[in-house]
Amino acid sequence: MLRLVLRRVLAVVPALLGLALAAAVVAALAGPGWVEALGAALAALPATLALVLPALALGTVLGALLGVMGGAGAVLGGVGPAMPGFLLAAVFAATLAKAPVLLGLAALALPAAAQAATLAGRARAGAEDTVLLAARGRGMDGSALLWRLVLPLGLSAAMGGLRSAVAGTVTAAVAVESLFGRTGAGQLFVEAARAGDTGMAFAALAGMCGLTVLLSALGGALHGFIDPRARMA
Amino acid sequence: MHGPAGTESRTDPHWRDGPWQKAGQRLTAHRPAAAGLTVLAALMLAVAAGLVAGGGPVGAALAAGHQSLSFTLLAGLGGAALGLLWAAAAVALGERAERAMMAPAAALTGLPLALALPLVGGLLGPQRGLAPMVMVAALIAAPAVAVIARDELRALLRREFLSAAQAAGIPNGRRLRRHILPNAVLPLAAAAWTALPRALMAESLASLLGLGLPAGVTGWGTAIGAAARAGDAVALAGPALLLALTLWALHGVGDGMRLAFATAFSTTAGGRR
Amino acid sequence: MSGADVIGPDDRSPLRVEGLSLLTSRDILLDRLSFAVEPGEVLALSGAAGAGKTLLLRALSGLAPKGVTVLGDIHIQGRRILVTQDGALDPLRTIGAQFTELLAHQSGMDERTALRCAAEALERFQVPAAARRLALHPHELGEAMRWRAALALAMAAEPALLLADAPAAALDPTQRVRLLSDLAAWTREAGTALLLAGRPQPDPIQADPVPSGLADRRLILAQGRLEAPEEEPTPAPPPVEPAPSGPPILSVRDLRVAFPLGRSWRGAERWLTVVDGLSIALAEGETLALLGETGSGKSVLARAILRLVPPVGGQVSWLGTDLAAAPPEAMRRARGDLQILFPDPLAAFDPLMTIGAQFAETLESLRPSRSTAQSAAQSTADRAARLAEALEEVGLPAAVLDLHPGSLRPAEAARAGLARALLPEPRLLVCDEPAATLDGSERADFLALLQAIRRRRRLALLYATQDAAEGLGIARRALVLLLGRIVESADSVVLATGARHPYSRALIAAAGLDRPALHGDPPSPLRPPTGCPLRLRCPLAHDGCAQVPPTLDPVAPGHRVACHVAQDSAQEDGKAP
Repeated sequence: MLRLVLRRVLAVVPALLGLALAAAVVAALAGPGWVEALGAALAALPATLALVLPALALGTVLGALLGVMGGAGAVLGGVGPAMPGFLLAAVFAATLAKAPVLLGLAALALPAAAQAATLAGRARAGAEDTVLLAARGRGMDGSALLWRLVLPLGLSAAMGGLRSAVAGTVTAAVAVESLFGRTGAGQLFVEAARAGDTGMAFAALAGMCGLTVLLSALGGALHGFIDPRARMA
Repeated sequence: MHGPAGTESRTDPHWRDGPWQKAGQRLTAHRPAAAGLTVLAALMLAVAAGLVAGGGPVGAALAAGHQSLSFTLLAGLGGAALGLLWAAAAVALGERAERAMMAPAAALTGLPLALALPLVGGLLGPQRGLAPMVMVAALIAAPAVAVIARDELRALLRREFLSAAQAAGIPNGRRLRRHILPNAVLPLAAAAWTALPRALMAESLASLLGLGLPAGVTGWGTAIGAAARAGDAVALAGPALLLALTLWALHGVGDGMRLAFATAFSTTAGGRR
Repeated sequence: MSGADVIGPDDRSPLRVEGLSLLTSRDILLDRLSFAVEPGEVLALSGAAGAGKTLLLRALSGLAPKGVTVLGDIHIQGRRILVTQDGALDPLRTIGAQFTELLAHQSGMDERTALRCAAEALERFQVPAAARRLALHPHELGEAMRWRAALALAMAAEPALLLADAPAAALDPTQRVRLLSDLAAWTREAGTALLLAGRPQPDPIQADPVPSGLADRRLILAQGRLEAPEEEPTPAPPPVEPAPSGPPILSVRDLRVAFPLGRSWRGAERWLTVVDGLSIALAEGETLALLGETGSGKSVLARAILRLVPPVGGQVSWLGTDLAAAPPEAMRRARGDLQILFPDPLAAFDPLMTIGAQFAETLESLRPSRSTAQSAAQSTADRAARLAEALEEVGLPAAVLDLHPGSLRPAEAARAGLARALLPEPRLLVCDEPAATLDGSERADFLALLQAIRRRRRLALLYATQDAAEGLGIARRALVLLLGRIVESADSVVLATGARHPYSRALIAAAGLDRPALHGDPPSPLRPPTGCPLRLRCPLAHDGCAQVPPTLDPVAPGHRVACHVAQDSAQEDGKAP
């Protein structure tokens, strides 16, 4: 597991360095305060991570669980495309601005869960006549089948879509931070962009891209941990 | 033995239909796609009618829809064209160029690219024009289109009937015109369609943050952002509902196209090399 | 087949079926079947595609699909296990873990015993270093090894009844027949009843597996009922044709086909060699079969002759013209003489054009009309008539011209493909497993049609197939290919009874459902073994085989073999008298 994580993370190091370099160059070209800009962007990232990571984890696991069960999962997957994170954030902000932390989390987790549910449901349907039938033919059934085979397969499929889920969640996190007034890289980005502060905005964006790349790599390692077929890539 | 008679009666009433009809049947057989097409058509009509009638909160939402949909259409078409060009160039230029061109496209699809639109919007300031924004949105949508289109083209070039055309002595130019291009149309259309929801998402997000459509132009995103900041649930309902519906319809149609067209013309699965 | 010849319905039968019907709301899929399988008996179940074999097996294992009603009695004594068509294993866990789980679940075995049991089970299928394979995941195994693991897993659970749905259908006959023989031997020894369904594709089990001893009895499923196997008339031996003589029309010299695999980290270019210095000469009207397993290069060779795959070396000359150096116009003229039948005829038609339009395109390209303007209408009518004639020759109505390929059934597509190939009036027909998508009687009909047309038109034929019986039946001479090289070449009659190369013998044995004497899997073409390419699988290999690759030398007039052992014994035969 550790080796897998290391390999995945090392593989994205050049991309991360490239992003940092690009951010530094743009910030330096834009104004004299580029060191501060980079520092501010880096300092704001943990807050964004604290928003994105739980939402992704929660969304993927719950979505996969619902997806392999069918029923509610299929409904969730079906309406998924209609509710991108930024739209949910706006709706929550306008209607029930009571518990912003939980609401922000929900706005990010729901789309991730919908995608996971779709992928997991599809994986289950695809496995029904192959892997699952073969396992039933060997006398496996009931909860053993569900926990030992169906759920891992669904989870693996959901994690296969993690790359786009991470990108989507980070994008939506900008809207959540901006609408709920939370501090973080997204908030920093929006304010810098509104103020026309090129260096700061670009540094914040590069920071979020780096976060996305890193989270995708970790997600890929986790996927490989669950599914040996994903270890090769 | 049942003689291979060709015209004897079969159970499927549509067995004689041409490939284009069959592709259409497959598309409308996919329920979200059929519903999505209906919704999109209705929406277009409603927006057109709203422009004429106007007035009231519904009229405002429809007018905003006009802005959002026009932007989406322009940016989506641009993104689709860019993506297809990207993929076609990569495939045409040979293996090494293909790898060099497709690796960045694949890497870009994994980044929060949609944020480039508010970035540019902010940098251009409130007096920004529409054209650069459309262009950036097109660039945002292009890499994903390119990745899908490249896969489709590669799969198409491996199809056996191209070998058969070669065995029939058909020159390369004619092979491209008569066999490759017609067969590429539907799979590439499915790939191109994905640019539309992407462009709409990017525009709505940017407008919601106040960094999308230029000042004075109100799209759905702009209206939603204003309502959310004011805490006005009533003003939010119209545009949010319409935006959700449009996104759902675009995705539904895109899904249907992928299912119906990507496998559409491979009359049999598999086959050996 | 009714219960008449089943030995009394005693309680020992692992499977006894009485009046089993399967219904959907609309029709009857299987109609009142009755049969029984005794312990240790191997029962083969055959039938055309869609006859309901898979459905029957699923119903017998209690896993009938949704919407299918099961009526009648199924008595099962003891444990039953179904091995599905794809032999799927759990993709997420190692082979060993799957054995441990199944054995713990079924007989409460602890892990160490289970693993030992698993290794023993794999060894029954001659898996070398079985214990090491247990640490691998299914996707890390080759297709053949995955099937061995799936069947070993099923048998390790000691079932009383094993239902195997077309096991290992995608494997080469050599590997498949060996696997099935080993399985049958094991079930007989263990007293397990084995119900073996055939696949819809051309399949030895569809032919009669009883005479070869693979199965004890055979049931045929047709129109939802069981039929008694009828005596198949032995096909009349084909009329002996005089050996074609005259100068070769096609001659292939040292043909090499390889695909670049990119560069290794040291910068050296790596190639995958598929056809390695092959030479063939074919006279007017001659028929030649190319036999070999998957990966032997027969298909690529067929395509390289027509320059559908660019060769990297060697020469293909047609009537004295070197095709590699031919200008486009000469190449097009040669293409009119050289036509090909593809393995998937349906995929070889452009789905967007009608059959007629594609025929017309082929004809216009390869036999352009030199008509003047006045006779244009005349020539159009001529062409239409010619297309209809072409279809008539292969037994299709002219109405097929207006259809798109998507409306054709596989048998019709195969015939349409043949008609298209015949349109430019070729002199050589290259066939790349042309009947691979057909089964049963459709296949036999198509091959008979091909033979009849070949004789009538005096076509030269190059017929690539992995089914030795089919190839030897159709062609007068045969070449046996292994990793892109010829290992044996002889007349079909000679080869059918007196093949010298162990690999040829295995191919021919597999075609007759006898257990082939090759062990292990084909070596990777990326890293072929030193010396003889077969030596790792060969039962006769000695140390010398690893040193030098054998050359193709004559052992008898018109019979050449590339095998050290066969050459040595031929020499001794020559000295003895």
